[in-house]
Order: sequence, then C-alpha cells, then structure tokens
Amino acid sequence: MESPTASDLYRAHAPGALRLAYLLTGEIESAHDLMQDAFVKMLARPHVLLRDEAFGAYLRVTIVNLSRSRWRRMRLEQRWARGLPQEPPPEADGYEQRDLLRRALQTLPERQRVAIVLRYFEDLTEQETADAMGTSVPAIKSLVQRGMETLRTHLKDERYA
Amino acid sequence: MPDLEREIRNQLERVADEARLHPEHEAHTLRRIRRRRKNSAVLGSALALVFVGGLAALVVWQPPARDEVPRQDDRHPHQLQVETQTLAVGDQPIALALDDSSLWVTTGRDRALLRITDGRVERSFAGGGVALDVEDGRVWQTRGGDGGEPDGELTATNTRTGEVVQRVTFVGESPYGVDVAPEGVFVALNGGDLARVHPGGDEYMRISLGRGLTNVVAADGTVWVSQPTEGVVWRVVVKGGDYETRPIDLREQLDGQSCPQGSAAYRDLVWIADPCSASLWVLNGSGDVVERISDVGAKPADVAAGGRYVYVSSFRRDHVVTIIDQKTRQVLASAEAGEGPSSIVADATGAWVANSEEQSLTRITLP
Repeated sequence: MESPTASDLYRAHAPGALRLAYLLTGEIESAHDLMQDAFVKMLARPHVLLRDEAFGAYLRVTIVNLSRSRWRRMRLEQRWARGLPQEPPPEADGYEQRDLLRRALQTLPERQRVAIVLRYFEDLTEQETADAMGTSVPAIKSLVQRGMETLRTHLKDERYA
Repeated sequence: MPDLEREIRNQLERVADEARLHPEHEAHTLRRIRRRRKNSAVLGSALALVFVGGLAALVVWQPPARDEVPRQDDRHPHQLQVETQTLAVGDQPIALALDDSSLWVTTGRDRALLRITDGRVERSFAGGGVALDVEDGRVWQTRGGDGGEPDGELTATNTRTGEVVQRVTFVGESPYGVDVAPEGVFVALNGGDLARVHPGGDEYMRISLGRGLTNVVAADGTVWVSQPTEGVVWRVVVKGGDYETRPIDLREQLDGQSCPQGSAAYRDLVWIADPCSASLWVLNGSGDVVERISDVGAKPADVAAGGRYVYVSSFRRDHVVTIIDQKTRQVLASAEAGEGPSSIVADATGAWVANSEEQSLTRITLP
C-alpha cells in the first residue's frame, strides 16, 4: 500500500491536532503555531515512513511535548517582543460555562492541564496518558484528581457543590 | 464526580470547537517541511563526505558551516533571484548589529556577544543583550530588568579588546531598544522613558513617553520609539537639550489592532514592522503615514534597510523574510529563513537575520 504524503497526513490530522493544541495553550494563535511546529517536526525528516494510524498517536505526543516546552520559548519570545499586547479572548457568545472552563483550564498547573485534556478530551486511558506524558499511572491519577478539584472550585456550579 | 467529568468532557468539546483551521496554513506547513528535508539531506551528505573522506585520505575535513541550498519562497517567483545561506552559531541568536567589517550577535543561552567576520565566528565576549548597536569601535548592549536581573543596564564594549568601557545602570528598569546617533545613545526603557545617554559619561536625560516602549531608531535628529501596547510610534525631535514629542497612533489609521515593533530609518522614510496588523508601515520624516504594506509575512517583527532594498522578518508561522524595493515600495520576493526569524540587519548587498529558535543566522544575498 502506498504511504500517505505529508499533505495527506496534514489533512487527516490537522483538525484534531489544532483542537488539542488549543485546549493546551488556550490561545488560537499559539495553537496554530504549535500544530504547525508539530507537523514540521514529525514530517521534516526524509525517508521516515509512518503508517497513518500510528501517525496520530505520535503527533499527539509531539504536541504535548511542544506545549510543555512552549513556556521556555515564550520567555525567549518575550525578550524579543516585549510589550506585545495579549491576544484578546474570543468574543463572548452566551456560552458562559464554556468561557469559565477555558479560563479555569489556564489556571491549572501545566501538567494537570495536559493530563485532564488527554484523559477527558482525547479519551486516553490512564496508562495511555501516562505514556504520552512520560510518567506513571499513579502520577496521572494524582494530577487528574487535583486538576478536577481545582476545576470544580472554579466552575462553582451548584450541581457539583 | 461522574457528573463533573461528563460536564468537563462536554465543555472541552465546545471550547475545542472554537479552533478553526485556516486554509493557508497547510501551504505554510508543507513549505517548512520541504525546506527542513532539504537541509537534513544536505547535512547528511556533508557528514557522509566527512566520514568517507576521512577514511580514504585520513584528512580531517570540517563540514562547511553554511549550507548552500537556495531557499526561495514561491509567492514572488520571477521578480528577484534571492540566494540564502545558513550559518550555525551554536546558540539562540537574539539581536544583531553590523559595522564596516563584522556582524555582531548576542545570544540567549550562553549570554555571549559574538563577532562574525567572513562568515566565521571570530571572537566571543560577555553579552546576552536584548538589543545592540555598534558605532565608533563600541558595541552597545541593553540587558537585564526582566526578573533574573532586577536592574537593567546599558554597556559599551570595545570591539577590539572586548573590555566593557562604559556601563549605565537603570535601577529596577528594563531597557530594550538601543540606537547610537550623533545626539547620543538612545535607549527605550520599558517602564516608559526614552533615555539619552552621553557616550563617555554617565549622565543622561530622560524623556517620558509611556509604558511599554520597545524599539528605538534615530536618524537626522529625530528618534522613533515603538510603544506596541498602545499601537503608537513616538516621534521625538531632539534639539540640544530640548525635545518635542508626538505620538503617532497607528490603530487610528486602520481602526484595528496594531503593535509596532522593529523599525528602520532610511532615506527620509521610517519603516515599522507591525505583527498585530501583519503589515509594514512607512512614515515620512514628519510622522505622516505614507503607506501600509501588507504581504510581509504573518508576524512581521523587525525591519532593516540597505542598498536598494528593505527587508522584513516574520517571526512566527511562515518564517520568511520579505524583500521590498525601497523606492517603489513594491514587494519583490520573500526568502525562507530558519525558525523564528527576528532581529534583522542589512548592508548594500543583502541582509542577516537571527533565527532565534534554530541557533543559526540566515544570510540573504541579492544581485
């Protein structure tokens, strides 16, 4: 069977990759950059043959790793582009609960945010989440539990009080 | 907890739905992939040559520091032939400056100041500045004031000996852009002042403009200071000990986002890169907007002028340098740089750009 081209892989995986990157970064501009960097990192090496089904998993890990190194890069960027205004949040559109969650996610420590997004958005098992983050299952359980407690506090919905 | 989990899952889906793909991103991504593949192939060939050559002739051969892959964007294919070369510098380059014989580079990790002559790193001094300029045998750097070093400073390093011959401390402040002019050394302090330092002495005057100052460029008695947080460029006319200031509000010009950053003054015009509006502003000496040039990359960060051309680096996503005819102000070509092109300087035959995420510089040469 013929291997998929870079264009094939981009079209198949970019929408999901962008959604994951957006949840991890909380900023649409940063999410686009992160997704593009992940594709370049994955596909730039010549003669690397990847099966389409394996590509998605590798891409997910690459996005997670890049999001975690993003803060280091942001520091460098800020040295150059010091004083740039922050990206404005998307226009409010009535989904108050969604906006609450977006903001609450960004208050989480980075590892908790990644763990929650992988568990509840990517629907990975605890073992798969641990593999993607390079840590243990107990550590994932702890990260998710603490993250969920923080989200519960932030969301302050009487249904969970 | 299950109710909360279900709600979190639903809300995560809804938040993720806000992320929309832009069609042009596919082309950008694939272009970057092709360029990386070319570079990898060249590096692999060079290493193979070294290995084979070493075995056959027992001659130690250094792989070339530069690759010779022409890398030209295809948006303007027929207007101008551009040659690009990459020079590895072993650290993240932050800022650049040119004098008659050398290119000066500050780096982020090792906090060094490199002198590059004829495409080779010749000497390394203490550096790490966020901005620099070189004039009359001195390299001026600004650094500090950003958390790690609470006080900012401006230093002048002798280009021959590497000795720091002048140091001005800005207590609790964060200096950024620096430009040397006959009227003095001008420093943009992020806290809101433009400092004018006398070369050879510690005394300086301050001109209060507003918080968030970044870049500064001085020419013909006029200083131009970027204030991206307000979308403003300040025009400051210095006459002896007096000065006049005028804010130029770029947001008013386009009724939208603007955050002016890198700037260059060249032949009666001032060129200002604006990543928020993805454009290059052209002002005349009075501060009036002559033109706004788009098609200069997704995030234009810095601009330099030399010879017949103006060069604009685009810091994110497309990673290109756009080349503009300084007389007609037409976009002639765009050359692909490395990752994170930021600071850029130009001479009569081309430009150097700092690839701040790739530990390299790109040299762009024009006919």
